[in-house]
Amino acid sequence: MVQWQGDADEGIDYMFKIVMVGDSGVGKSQLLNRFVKNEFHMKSKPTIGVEFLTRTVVMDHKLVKAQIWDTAGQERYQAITTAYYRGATCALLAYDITKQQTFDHVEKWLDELRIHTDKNILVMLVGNKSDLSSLRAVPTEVARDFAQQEGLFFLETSALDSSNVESAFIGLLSQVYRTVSRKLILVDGHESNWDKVNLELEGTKIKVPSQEPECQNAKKRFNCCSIL
Amino acid sequence: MTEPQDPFSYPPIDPVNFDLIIVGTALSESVIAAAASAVGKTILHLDPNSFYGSHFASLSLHDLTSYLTSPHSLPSAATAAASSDSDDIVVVDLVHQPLCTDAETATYDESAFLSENSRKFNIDLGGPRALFCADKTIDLLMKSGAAQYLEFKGIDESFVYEANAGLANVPDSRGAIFRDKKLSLKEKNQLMRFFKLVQQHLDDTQEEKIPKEDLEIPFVSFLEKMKLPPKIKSILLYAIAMLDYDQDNNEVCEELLKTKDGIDCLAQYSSSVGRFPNAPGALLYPIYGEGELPQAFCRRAAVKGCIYVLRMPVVSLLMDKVTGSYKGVRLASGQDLYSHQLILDPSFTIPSPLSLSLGDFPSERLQMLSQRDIKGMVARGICITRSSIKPDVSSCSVVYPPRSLYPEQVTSIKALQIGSNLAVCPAGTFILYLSTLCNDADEGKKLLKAAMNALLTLPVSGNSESIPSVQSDSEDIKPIVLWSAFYIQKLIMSKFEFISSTPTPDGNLNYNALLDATEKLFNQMYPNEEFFPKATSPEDPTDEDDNGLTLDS
Repeated sequence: MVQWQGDADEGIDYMFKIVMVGDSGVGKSQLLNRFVKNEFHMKSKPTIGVEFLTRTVVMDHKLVKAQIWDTAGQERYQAITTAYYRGATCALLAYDITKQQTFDHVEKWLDELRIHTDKNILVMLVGNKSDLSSLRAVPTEVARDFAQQEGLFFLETSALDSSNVESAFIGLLSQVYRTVSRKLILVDGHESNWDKVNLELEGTKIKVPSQEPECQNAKKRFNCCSIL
Repeated sequence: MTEPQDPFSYPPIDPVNFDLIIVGTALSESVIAAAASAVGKTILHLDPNSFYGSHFASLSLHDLTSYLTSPHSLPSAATAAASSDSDDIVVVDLVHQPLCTDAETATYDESAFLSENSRKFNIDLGGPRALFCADKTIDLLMKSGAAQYLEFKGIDESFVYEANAGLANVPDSRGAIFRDKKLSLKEKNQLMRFFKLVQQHLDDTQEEKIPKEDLEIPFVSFLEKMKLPPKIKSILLYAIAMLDYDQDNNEVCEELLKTKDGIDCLAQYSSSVGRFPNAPGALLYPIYGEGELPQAFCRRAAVKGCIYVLRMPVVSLLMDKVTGSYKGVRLASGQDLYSHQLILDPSFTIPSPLSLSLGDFPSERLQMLSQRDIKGMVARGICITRSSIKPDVSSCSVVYPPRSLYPEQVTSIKALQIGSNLAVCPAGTFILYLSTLCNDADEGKKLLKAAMNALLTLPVSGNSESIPSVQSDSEDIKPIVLWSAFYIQKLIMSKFEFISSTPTPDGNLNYNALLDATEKLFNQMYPNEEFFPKATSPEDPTDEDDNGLTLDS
């Protein structure tokens, strides 16, 4: 979710939604845990329990919050919801360098992203498990050429020994930040989110941000008097 | 929507034993998946479609047309065997009976535009549908944690259709009554006094204002007793209480609404107005369409360990040969899976046991399974238009009271218009949903087309230069229909047996009745478990520096 907030609101300047995609077992959750919690678990089973994790970084003196979504294991039998992709500004597409099939499926994942996300979404192709170089099945040059041809960023990583994990996520965030600081991305073409209803704010008055158009403000102000 | 792929390219599903297998990802199935996962049940949740939601889905224009016009039958299992693989199992093949029938679609104009922008549509199969701000659906979304995957906007206005007068605002608050331009001063005073009486009646600090004997009489009689004029009666009964049948027609309305229930309807409606600061009226609608709701609950279930498979039909039941009890299911891939309980989408059934050659299998248990509890039909219509039915209004609800379209009209018709600001259609277009209860397809379609013609106009074929006709009593120009669909859905109740099934979309605007049936089914299946217990266990990891809610201010 691209959410521009004033400095006064919690101190966060930008929040970006990143989605992780790729075949089951390539290490998406491990990459996420490494980046956010600096943890690695040797024995992992299909993803359970992780919604999304967040991490806030500083770029050009701005606080940038990354909200990184994991699949909850729904990719195993091709059952990721379309709702998963809503509002994503960038995606980290992972494959396993020791399993050719996971690289072969990258094209399918790109198709999925193109269908369900904004056409301007930024994609980082990640070849994970670089620590298992003796079992390599996907040459680096092949993947790099593919990424270049498809307009993707590319890095090989190891969630186990931390190689390039930070670079992959920070690199992706930097690209999004650079794009956004040039122009605000219109989320799904809708210019303003000011009239979304927040289910948490029952009965609470919220301050309308001052940059909202005054005429819209006046038009939409609801009547306080309720009959019952 | 991704193209359907060969379902048999999946790896075999592992494990093969579950507490619960659910077939179909409609709202009820998804809520039960989330509720059962939350209390630790192991669940496999499958859908034969390539999308989530079943008959509660929101689809692209192309996928919607395909879904309505080419229902599919179940494939045979890949490794189909004439007899069961095991001596103690009987295989009973399932039959798929589509819930949407009598479908007709028509493209009137701009077919190239509609085709190019198919994916920008998220069209509800079960519409018109919305949530009241004070709905129990809201409470369920909060309690279950599914709210974090959803965003809502308020529906701008609510209208009631008046014969010979067109759309009138529903006066649902003191301010709305004050501003209304169509109510007379006398009518405004009557309505104010009535609302004040109801408010005082509901106020816990005061003695109940409405006598007990009045609470038991039909609501329509109570309104007459209050000497409210027919126009206000109609607004209260059909636009606020949202009743389906003509309360003044004893022949058609078998069960008149009682006053106490009518008061409850008014209470929910008015407690919805103003509940959320950014919602201008009583209703909310999820951004990207109602299909987001089942997906939110499915995500919730997946996070708790539920396994999800799309594009995977279940083709047979596996039954114990001696006891006749349920054992498991056979997938189209040929794989057999086992569970203690099974929930089937209501479009799945089995042939009458008499047509099966089952030998000495106790077939009387199957008899119940082959019968479905059909309570009636809902006729649904969808129109894509180029302008709003009300200028400067993007989203609105409309109710056509009984007899507002023609004298023999015995049911209300509900309509909901959604604009592109809710991400359900391309910019510059609107979707209008219509629905009504009916006893047969012809009756239902007649009602819907009368409602459509009251507000919309069709392009005159062969004469694209013609100017749309202007309504004689107002300056509004009727929107032009680019595309329309009409279809009939059977109304099927939920059922708890050793194999359970869930309800189909009903004719209501909100989900309360559906969710009541869903929670009841959950409690029948798991009588010792709580429906979405509040406390998260210590083993449930939560993100430490974010409460998980996407707060948009």
